[in-house]
Amino acid sequence: MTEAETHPAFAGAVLATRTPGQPGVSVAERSGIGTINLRGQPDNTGFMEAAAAVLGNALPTTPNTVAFADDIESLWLAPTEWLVRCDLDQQARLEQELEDALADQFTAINDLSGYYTTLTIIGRNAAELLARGTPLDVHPRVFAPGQCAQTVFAHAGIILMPRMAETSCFDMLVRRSFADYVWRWLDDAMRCLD
Amino acid sequence: MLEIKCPWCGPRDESEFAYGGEAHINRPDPETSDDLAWAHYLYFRDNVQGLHAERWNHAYGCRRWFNAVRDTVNYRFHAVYEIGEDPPVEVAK
Repeated sequence: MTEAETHPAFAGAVLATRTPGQPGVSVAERSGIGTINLRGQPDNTGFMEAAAAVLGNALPTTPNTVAFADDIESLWLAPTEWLVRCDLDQQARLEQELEDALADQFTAINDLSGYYTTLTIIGRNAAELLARGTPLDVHPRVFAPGQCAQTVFAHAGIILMPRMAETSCFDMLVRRSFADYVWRWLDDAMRCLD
Repeated sequence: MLEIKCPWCGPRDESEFAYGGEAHINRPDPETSDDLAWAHYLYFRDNVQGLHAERWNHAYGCRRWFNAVRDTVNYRFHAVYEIGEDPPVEVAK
């Protein structure tokens, strides 16, 4: 098991614009998420069916989409690669179930729970804040819940996921070693939104 | 800034990509090739004016390699296609 606790640089902290009343956007770390990297061939029906049986839903084959099942999210990362997210306390069980179900398949299953941390960016200015650092079009018309994208944010590689349709809200998965830098960058960028 | 169409992820900003140089360069058999053939494989490139077949990697996205045909005069992309395929449009010599 790897460490997947809160990031020491900003554990429990919240960044928010200081607009009177409702802040335009706020950022906080969401901890306690287990992350598994899953690789396999999408044209291998044995692999796809066995993975779907464990995960409760078929792995997405449409680029940059997410498949949901109960508490499990499967993000498309590449034609042969997915990122499975679940509660941290379910991670070890899920990883073992995948290893058992895919034992006969050509696959790779890796625990990345300690690799990424998740920043939740929420508020009516969330897309505007993201647009300051990423070239990706994050407008809800083209980037809505059910989609995900790997992109770059202020030179740091990230995975972005819109979460709620009614409120502007994004999960940003960032490498733990970049998280302190990205947090400070967001803090600085938010000052311009006040 | 260029907008490059990744064959999987669709149009993305150039800053997500890494350039991989000229495409369709075949590695000669080191057992049978001479120094000249090996030097050409390592160091010699076409430097065309016009349509150029080249490799790109979607480094910050899906991390897949693909080929593209780009006009070196006006930077316009004419096609993207998978590794192992032939250029879908005629490239400059």
